[in-house]
Amino acid sequence: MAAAQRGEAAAYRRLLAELRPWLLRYFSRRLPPSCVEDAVQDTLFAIHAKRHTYDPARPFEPWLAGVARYKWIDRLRNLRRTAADELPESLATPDHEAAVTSAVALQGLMLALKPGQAEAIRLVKLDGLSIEEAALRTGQSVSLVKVNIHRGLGKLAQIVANSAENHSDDD
Amino acid sequence: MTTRLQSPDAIIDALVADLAPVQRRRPGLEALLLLVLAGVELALFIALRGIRADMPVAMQTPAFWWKSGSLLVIAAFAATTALASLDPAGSAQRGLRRLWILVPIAMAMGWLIDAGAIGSVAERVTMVARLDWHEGVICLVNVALLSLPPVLALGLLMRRGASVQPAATALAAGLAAAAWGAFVFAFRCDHEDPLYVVVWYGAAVTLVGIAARLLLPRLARW
Repeated sequence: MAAAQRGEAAAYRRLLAELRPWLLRYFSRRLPPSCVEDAVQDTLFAIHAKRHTYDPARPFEPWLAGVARYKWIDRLRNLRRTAADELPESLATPDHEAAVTSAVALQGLMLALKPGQAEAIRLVKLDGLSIEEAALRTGQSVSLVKVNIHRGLGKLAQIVANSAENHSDDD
Repeated sequence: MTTRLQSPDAIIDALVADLAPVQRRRPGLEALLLLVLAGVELALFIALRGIRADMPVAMQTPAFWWKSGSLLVIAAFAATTALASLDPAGSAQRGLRRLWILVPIAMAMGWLIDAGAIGSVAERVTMVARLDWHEGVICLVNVALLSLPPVLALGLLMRRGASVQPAATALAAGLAAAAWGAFVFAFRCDHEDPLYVVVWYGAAVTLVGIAARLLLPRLARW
């Protein structure tokens, strides 16, 4: 990163190429599969735009973790704004393995939500069901599913933002 | 943010192509700039508006030192908190929590000074007279105006920096600027009554803090 701050392109390319898999792993544990790629891109852009704020005298990891977490919260809020939108058809196939391994950190946080909110988010945002299917499955009305997703995601963003100083959590 | 339909390699190519050497953020320099701005503001204010006529007398009362001292400590503490949080690895929440301890201590000291003074005051005036709302509003407006230069400077620094807690950083910036504005105005304002100071200065600092909390994060989105 220090070399990148001096404008050394080769070192910068190496850094970004190494960061990408790290970020993919980071966000696939924390976000629904459909927005992992977007979050990675956003974070790469943010790292680029704010590269002057890194102080090479300090470790790089906490700086990177701070940026990534910031973009994670950003994504959760973004997801909330589009809470009622359904996922594109291509992503709506429930993939068993992905459902088990994806967004584990997010699922852990969802324990803090009301069961109705957590279930609505899990079915629609992680498993890719339509709002109507989720309503049938949970017995909630269609509008309640939407409200639960909206409120639940808002709460999640808040939880993450409030714990924002524990940069050293799992990874 | 819209979905970008670019391949990962294309994005890395674009970022590498856009790479230029950057001037690293220097927190020490930022602090120095703020200090210079604050000093210039204070000097200009004293040059234009003058110092209160009874300054030598006031300087012998504990209330004067309590007022200016508390504001200076709060301003310095909040500004340090804001600056330290402009690094993605930094945090403003810890500093703010300490500020929530500092402010009640300052208020309690004011209350002690007040309790000590009441015995010596011959006539006990009413609460309304002590608050003197007409002067109070003037104080409030002055403090708010004097907080504008530092809050703008902090806003610019925030824009250049990268706070991962924009709300907390903005609040700290607003409180720092307002406490500094109040400190500057205290050179002119001859109200020493702790009740008056806590209510009117407190109102001004709170209002500027809220305004900064609401506006600065919009200016510093990244």
